Amino acid sequence: MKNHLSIFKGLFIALSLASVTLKAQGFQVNLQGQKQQGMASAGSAFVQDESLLFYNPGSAAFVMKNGLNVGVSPTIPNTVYLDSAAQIMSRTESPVSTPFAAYALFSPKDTSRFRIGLAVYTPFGSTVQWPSEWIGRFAITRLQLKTIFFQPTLSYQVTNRIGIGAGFVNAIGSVNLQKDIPVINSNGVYGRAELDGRANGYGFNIGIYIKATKQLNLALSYRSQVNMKVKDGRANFYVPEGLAPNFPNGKFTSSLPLPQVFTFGTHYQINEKINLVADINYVGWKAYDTLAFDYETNTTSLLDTKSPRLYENTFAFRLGGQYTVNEKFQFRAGAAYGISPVQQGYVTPETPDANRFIFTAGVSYLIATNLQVDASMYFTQFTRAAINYESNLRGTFKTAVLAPGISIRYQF
Amino acid sequence: MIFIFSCKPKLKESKPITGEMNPASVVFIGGNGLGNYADGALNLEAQKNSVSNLLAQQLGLVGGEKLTQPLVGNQFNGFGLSSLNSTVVTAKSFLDNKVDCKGITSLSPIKPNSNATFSDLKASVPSASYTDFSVPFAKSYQMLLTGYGNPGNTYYNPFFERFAKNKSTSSIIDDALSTNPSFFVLQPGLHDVLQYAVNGGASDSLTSESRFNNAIDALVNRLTSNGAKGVIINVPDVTKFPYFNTIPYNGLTLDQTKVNDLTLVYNVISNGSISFSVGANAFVAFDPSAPIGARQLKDGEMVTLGTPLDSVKCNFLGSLNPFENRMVLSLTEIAAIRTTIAAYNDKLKGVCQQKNLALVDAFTFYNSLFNGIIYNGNTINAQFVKGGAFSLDGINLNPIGNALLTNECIKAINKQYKSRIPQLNANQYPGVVFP
Repeated sequence: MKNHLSIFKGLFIALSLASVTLKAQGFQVNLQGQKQQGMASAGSAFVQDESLLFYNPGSAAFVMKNGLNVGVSPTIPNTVYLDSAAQIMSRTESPVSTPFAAYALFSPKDTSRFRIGLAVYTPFGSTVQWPSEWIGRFAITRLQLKTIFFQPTLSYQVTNRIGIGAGFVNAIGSVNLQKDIPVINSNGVYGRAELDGRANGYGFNIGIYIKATKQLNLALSYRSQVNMKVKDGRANFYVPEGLAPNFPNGKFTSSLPLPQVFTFGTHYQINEKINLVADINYVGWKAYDTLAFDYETNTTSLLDTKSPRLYENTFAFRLGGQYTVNEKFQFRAGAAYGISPVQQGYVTPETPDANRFIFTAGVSYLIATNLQVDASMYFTQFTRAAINYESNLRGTFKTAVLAPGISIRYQF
Repeated sequence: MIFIFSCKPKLKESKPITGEMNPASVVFIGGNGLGNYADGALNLEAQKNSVSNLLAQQLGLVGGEKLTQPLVGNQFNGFGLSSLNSTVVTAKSFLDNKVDCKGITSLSPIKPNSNATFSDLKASVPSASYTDFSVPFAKSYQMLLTGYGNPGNTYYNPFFERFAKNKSTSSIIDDALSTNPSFFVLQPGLHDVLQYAVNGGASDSLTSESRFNNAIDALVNRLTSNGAKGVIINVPDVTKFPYFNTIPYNGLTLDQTKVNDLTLVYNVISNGSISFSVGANAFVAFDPSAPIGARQLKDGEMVTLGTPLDSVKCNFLGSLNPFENRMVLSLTEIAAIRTTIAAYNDKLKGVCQQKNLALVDAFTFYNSLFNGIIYNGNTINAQFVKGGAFSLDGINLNPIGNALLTNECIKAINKQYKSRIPQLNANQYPGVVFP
């Protein structure tokens, strides 16, 4: 038992140092629970483990044991861009990112209808690093968005068939944006801009769970929009000396809306071995209308920017199944289709988004009565022939994302 | 293995296609519009980043041969001449902080002392079969003149003397045809209007429409006589160059004291035709047709960058001392230049249609620069120094401007000859170099 606990500690430390990232529809990350990930991130109505604190706090009311659950999904994104006029290829050098999710869920007493939970997870993020001197260097060279949500949650069994839950979200995050400036010095070095700032915001996560029949369960959940505000960002410009007065280093403010998500989930138990889940997400991306940077000191060369994003609200459809082999082993598979919120004309190299199919698989293994390991694999690939009206980039983006994940669950 | 595989998405570049053109032997004929002259001088860096060199490089992707240029030796800081009548060689400019007559420091083009003499300019480059006949100052009809590189002739051009096959008898067109071109790039007409404009209409003249038309017919007939195909670059509206649009016509800013002083002087002689007020005022320029031989400029008239600015700031040039005619383009002169360019471009369009040649609409391309474009995240316009497209002479393009014009040439060729030549990544080419 002691050993198991120290594994947990180690993981927690590793995770708290890790960063957050992945592109999956906009810059939303759908990797918050290994069991759900194995079923294409569906399963908000399937009561299995503590990750329901994220997927549906209402369903979490029916998780029977206390538990700790910690997982990570190293994400390997790779985008290639082919400029249509020059037929020049550029490939991102984005680092592997590590979205994580950690959950703790307790009952005050064994007989209590209440559950108290804490969820820490990374629902949005993205790191894109384009090679130096790529054709779009004056639009973007690097963007890193990180968010971590802390969500204390209370869940309650209203009846034996209905559960509700609500969590308060405190979000912290950071943004780092870099691009080259088209001014050159006598050594042939171009100017560069780096915007760096910390952000925070608030929101909530609520849900209801209904055991409709013996076999059919339903879930309805809502995660609110979180407006991440950068108040005290730092803008640094590295330009030829003669131009330094035109590009004063200084503060900037900005904000980024993380969209609200409605989810309708169903779970159908065919028999003791086979479970099916289907979820629909409706994501309020319309909130991401403009990306604006407001510099404290403006000059004729450094004006505030307002870049149109004009994202649209969008759906994702998720289907998955779980097969229980025996007391120790479970296997899962899933597929999803996600519709891109990004309209033609507004695709950017930092989020080269497209409609996509997602394929996943997963496995669980019970090491000991109280200790379970879950693992999953996520893969998607999508292509977008894109124009951007703001930068006039014209070309084709092709992105592949591979995200293997693992989590450990301890029950007591 | 599967991991690595899936993580590297693949796209395929489309293969270049030659189409209905033959790039085996390409010759370039033109003036400064091909970009070998920039920052006020013919210079090595400009030659390397010229439209001729960049286009030849892209034509190389469909089998074209390397361009052979009469390069300026890298020991020289440029061969600039103010006109073909001058023998004073000037260097290419660079940008640096400069203190003006009022002690104010600002970024300005600086002309270093030239390290070349007129004989250096005239001196032959190694004899070779050159394929880049970008000859600064060459007007359309002058491309046909025999002995154009012969100092004995009044119409002589030392920039052609540098690399003419035969200094006494060669013409640009003869030397160009001696390379047996299978494809040509012709850029005529710029200097037929530019020299006149740069001199404020005070010297040189606009080449007449008929003379231009005859020259074009002769050039194209000879270039196509063996079945060669080609592309013609038409003439931009030179009056929109930064050279004519950096100093505003009403750039004379006055305080009450200066208004009083100037009013005192002009009230007596001008009969009220010249008046001043606090703030922005129209400059005063000589005009023989005005009642007192001078008048204030009108909205739309242009002051050239050939105007000595220190004299404007500290010596009452443009106020007490009126601008000379050579510093100013009047509304009449501007209209004449624009009408002439429109006629030239009509002719070039007609010839291209008649001979099935590709036409590069430089007129429209330059207009887009004047309005400002965004190329792959890079905002570029025709503003002097800041805009990025023009070099420090305010007339000729920078490397990035040349790269964008080269892309226009490629588009025109691809369209006319059903070829698929890839465009350049223009963002690889620098604009103005800042200190």
